[in-house]
Amino acid sequence: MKILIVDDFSTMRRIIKNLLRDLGFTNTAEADDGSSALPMLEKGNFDFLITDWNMPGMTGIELLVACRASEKLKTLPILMVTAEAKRDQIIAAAQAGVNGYVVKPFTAAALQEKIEKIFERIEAAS
Amino acid sequence: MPTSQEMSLQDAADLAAEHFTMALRDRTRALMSSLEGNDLATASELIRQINMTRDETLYHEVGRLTRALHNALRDFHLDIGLHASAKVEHELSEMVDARSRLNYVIKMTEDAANLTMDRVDEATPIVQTLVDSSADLKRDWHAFVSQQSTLSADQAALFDRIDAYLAKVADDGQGIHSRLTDILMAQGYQDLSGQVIKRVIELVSDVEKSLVRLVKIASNVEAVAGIQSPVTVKTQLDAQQRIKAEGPQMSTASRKDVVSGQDDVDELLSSLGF
Repeated sequence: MKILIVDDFSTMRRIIKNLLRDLGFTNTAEADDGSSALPMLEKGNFDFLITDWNMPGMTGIELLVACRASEKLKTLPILMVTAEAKRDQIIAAAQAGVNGYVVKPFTAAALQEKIEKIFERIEAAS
Repeated sequence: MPTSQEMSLQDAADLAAEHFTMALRDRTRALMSSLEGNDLATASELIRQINMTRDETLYHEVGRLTRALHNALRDFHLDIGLHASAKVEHELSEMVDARSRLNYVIKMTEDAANLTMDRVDEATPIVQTLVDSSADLKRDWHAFVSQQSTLSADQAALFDRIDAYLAKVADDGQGIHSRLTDILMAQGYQDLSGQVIKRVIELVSDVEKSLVRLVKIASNVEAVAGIQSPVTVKTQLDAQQRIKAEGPQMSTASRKDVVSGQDDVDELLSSLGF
């Protein structure tokens, strides 16, 4: 399981990376915004994407839209971990095809639960 | 009689408006009487004078506004190149300084968060080693104890204490591990506070740019006196704006357009069929 973590704050990337390690996911890579993440996703064989929304350059929602428009990435599971907490924004993310949404500040348990739920759904669908 | 410099901008503007009104009244009376007397030459000269007075007042006001803005900007020590000849007291503008101070806060909190996480990263394997080795030792210890045929009451009590201790090391190790995770999660403040600070930095930059733009507009007295159409402000929320990133929301409890936590997010998403 190869996971890409996208956030402009290195602190948050590190927190998520550590949490994933605790959950047994050790194969992770990092990017600091959508425009650096997208080529990594197109080239590498990532199984899962965790992205922030508010980033300079390409935002998380733009990255989400770009992934869904890409033949290779249209089914990539995407979890948004963000401080953006407006209902309109969450609806927009859902409509754009996000698989899960976690608002910051979040707990380790919440992140774990959302990740597990996403994989359960993928297994059920396949 | 106060000088114009001692007068406030508002007082000066009021005085100028009063002068113009008085000049207008005086000339209107003269204009009426010249028209009644069919003296068209005098009438058009009076109209020309009224127009001139109005233009002069306008230019005067714009000039005053320009000087006031220049002064305000000089007080801010803005680095806009407008005072190249003037003595610049600070190398950096105060606005630039405010931005660098805020960036410093972001840097300091980032360093502190990283140091905290470094220590958490160091402590985690230490605790894990303790947990693992106590589990190993407990297993060997059980095997050893079960091989003993006869135990005195004292020996049995000691064996039990050692057994309980090894179990406690493993339990407490798990407790420490979950607390280390809490410490790790708490470092998320750096991201959230950093996002808010970045927005304030943007705001300061925008205010600075607006002030600079304003002073440039005001400097160009003729362009302003030519009454250009005002800058249209787009207030309607379009789709692009709806999905614009805003960073952490403030006063979420009292706002309806913002979710109040993960439970709200889950509820909203499940209502969308998630």
